[in-house]
Amino acid sequence: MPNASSPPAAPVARRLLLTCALLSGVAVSWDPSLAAAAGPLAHYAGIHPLNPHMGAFCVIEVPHVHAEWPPDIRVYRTLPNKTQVFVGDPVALGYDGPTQTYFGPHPLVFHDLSPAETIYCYLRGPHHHTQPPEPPASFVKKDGVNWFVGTFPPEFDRDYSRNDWINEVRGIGTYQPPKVDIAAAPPGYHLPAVLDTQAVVPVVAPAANGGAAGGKKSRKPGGAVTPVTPPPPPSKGVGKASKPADKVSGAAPAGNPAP
Amino acid sequence: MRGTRLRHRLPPVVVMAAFCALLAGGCRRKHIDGTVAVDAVLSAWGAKGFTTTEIKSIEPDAWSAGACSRGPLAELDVLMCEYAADETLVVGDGKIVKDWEQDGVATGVVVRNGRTLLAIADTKKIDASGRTIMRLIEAFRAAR
Repeated sequence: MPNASSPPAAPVARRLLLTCALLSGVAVSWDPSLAAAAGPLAHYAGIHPLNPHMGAFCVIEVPHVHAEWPPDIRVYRTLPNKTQVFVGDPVALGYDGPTQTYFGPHPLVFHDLSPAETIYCYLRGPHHHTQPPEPPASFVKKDGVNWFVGTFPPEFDRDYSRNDWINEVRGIGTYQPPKVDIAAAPPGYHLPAVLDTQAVVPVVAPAANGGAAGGKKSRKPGGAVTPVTPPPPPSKGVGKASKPADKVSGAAPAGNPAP
Repeated sequence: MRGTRLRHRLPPVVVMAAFCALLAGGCRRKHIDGTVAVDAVLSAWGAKGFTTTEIKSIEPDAWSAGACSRGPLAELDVLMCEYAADETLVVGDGKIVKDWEQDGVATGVVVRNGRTLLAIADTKKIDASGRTIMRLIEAFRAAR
């Protein structure tokens, strides 16, 4: 029979363990240096929006590291060495520094990467980048807008389907893309051929009375069809691949042609 | 015969001056010829309004360098090392990032100006936008 004068050991041990756990939690939460947790760091090539892509920006223009990984990889390209390269429209996501205006897809050169990398931007309409147009001879600047009049290599077409999702990213707040449309393009400008091969399906408006007798299926005048953007490919690269909710309503999609 | 003992005694004022110089970190920093001097970078930062008095010479062996200085600046951790050879600079560069992976850092950047390496670490998320870090980098890159 247990000795009634001595308390049982198990509850005491549990209380001791709980106390130690609580104290550890307090120590961790009080130590400001642990705000930056140890572990694999995300390598960034240059400037990029800060999590959660609601306007804050990291303006470090050279390769650097953060503890936080990108929350939306649609606006990044992940290099073989896992470096995250921001290829989106910085103004659309809150950047307020100097930029250049572009229309349509074009090459983007990152000189601070070793070796220097040329990456293709797949934004289809007017947008911004901090990089100047390169190579300069392949661009025509007209009314402040850079138009790529060079040749797209085979890898541009090859990588199109897994990078086109960048056009789904919406700008924050009241962002509006530059007011430029393709009618203003200089002679010799053409969109890449791969952009013309989107799947198209007829759009049939639903019957007004649910298909009852006498109802007609309506079609758009002239049998017009609406292009359907292929669904985004599965998430790739490192970091979280969550698609952020659309930003403040009314904000224009970054990179889409102005209405 | 009683031997003579020469007593050399430095004047007190000289002793005090040397002591004060040591305290203020005023000992001339070791410098590797052919590299951008840490002192030149500190002067450039001082001209930009940064207080650099806390950056002191440290033992460089851990980073395979010839000379290193380290200290807090604008609540960031700054490390600068001068290298006699590119090969050792690459080793030092790699070690810095490896240490950050082990110890944790909110933001870290390593840049070079010739064979002088600058590493800036923000462990407290003081400079989330990186604006202060970029000011330091621009002055570092412009130093000769």
